[in-house]
Amino acid sequence: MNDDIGGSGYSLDDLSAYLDRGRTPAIAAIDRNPECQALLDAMTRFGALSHELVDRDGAEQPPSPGWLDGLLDTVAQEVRAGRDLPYTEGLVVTEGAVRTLVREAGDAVPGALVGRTRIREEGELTRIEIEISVLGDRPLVAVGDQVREAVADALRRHTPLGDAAIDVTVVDVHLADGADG
Amino acid sequence: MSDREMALAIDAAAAAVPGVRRVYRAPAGIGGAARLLLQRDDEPLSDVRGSRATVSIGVQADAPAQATAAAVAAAVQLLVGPEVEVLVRVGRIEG
Amino acid sequence: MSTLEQAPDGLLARRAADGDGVAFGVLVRRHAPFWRAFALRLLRSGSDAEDCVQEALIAAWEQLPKLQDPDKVRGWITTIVSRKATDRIRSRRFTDDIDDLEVPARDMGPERTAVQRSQLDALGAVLAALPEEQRTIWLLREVAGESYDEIAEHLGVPADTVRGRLARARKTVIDRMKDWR
Repeated sequence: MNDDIGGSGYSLDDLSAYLDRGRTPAIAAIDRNPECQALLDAMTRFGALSHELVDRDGAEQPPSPGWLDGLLDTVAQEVRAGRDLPYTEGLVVTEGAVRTLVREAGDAVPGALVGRTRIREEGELTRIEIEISVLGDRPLVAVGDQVREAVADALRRHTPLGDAAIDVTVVDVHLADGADG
Repeated sequence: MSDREMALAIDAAAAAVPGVRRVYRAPAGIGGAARLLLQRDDEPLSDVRGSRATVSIGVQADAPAQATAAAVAAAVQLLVGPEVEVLVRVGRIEG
Repeated sequence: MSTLEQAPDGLLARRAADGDGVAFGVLVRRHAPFWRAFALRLLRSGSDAEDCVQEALIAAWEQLPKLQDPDKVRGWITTIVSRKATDRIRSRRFTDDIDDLEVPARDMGPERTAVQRSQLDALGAVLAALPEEQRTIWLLREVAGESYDEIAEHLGVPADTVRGRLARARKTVIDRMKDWR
């Protein structure tokens, strides 16, 4: 397409590529030309409307609620196990089981939601690193301490990591109505 | 009894131990990055090869996991006899 | 205990990467209507769209531990949906004629004004009438936000071809939507 848009010296192909480059570096002949600007605006607008169209399709023609159940069951059945951690001769627990335990212990603390959990060996010492999100109106340090205590308890009861160092980091604050989501 | 039959017997014995929620399929011996799967066919979940038997379990949280695993180890050792090395892996602890 | 339903995408993705199937389910159900609607616009067949999204979600579950920026999980999975959809398109027999695949049905919902609804409907019809490769490129650029290089990789064509076909699609859309400019 070699059409010259509004006498700017640039074609529609050029404008299209200019748009996708983020209009940088700026080209004065395009930026100052009303017909070029009108076309660039139209391209932008119909692009945004396309996104809105798909959003609308998704909201108004939702799939049947159960369509993902089979898939999610399959996913839930596969356990990410990770390394084996020894209790004693012939008995081990997987890292994955420990992470699930940590997550459930932390989640049970009011106002806390566990995010990422990591288990690190530092020589003789094991360190558990936990990231949590705290409900907005709760005192962050207190919740963090409660999580540490709950996790320490669960680890002592079920795993060989009862003496592990536990680091809890509040990485996020969330609101009850999901407004910051 | 073949290794396969023994593995099926181990599956049953492990599942019967109080506190065991389910038995998984997993690699034999101590390993890393194991992926545990539930049964998808008639094949046994536990792994038996000659001198080693490995069983991977999910346990309920109402008894300490190690004690449950130890009970499974004892039950399995009875089945396989003293010459076979038994490894019990706790793959999941259900809250 | 805060519920996962209100957790932001990033937290859900981190938990899912650690093996939390429940968190993965919450994340997936949140965005699945969008992904399915997107796949439907690309593939123009409801059953193909559903298969495509399911394959993408299985791949996402497998690869989640490798995702560097869990906060961007929605866009990351959208890219996987794009890849699965374009794989499917490439393996179909290509015809130049308008196919007799289903066109997405249109519901009349109350929230948008009649004018806005008509504009989205008109855009939907224009997109459906585009040649398949132009429509695919348009959707990958405007809805999935992919770069020329990413689109080129999905389609197995040079980035230059992507640039040219996108410009052509934009020209067509602008022309056919002229009543709405």
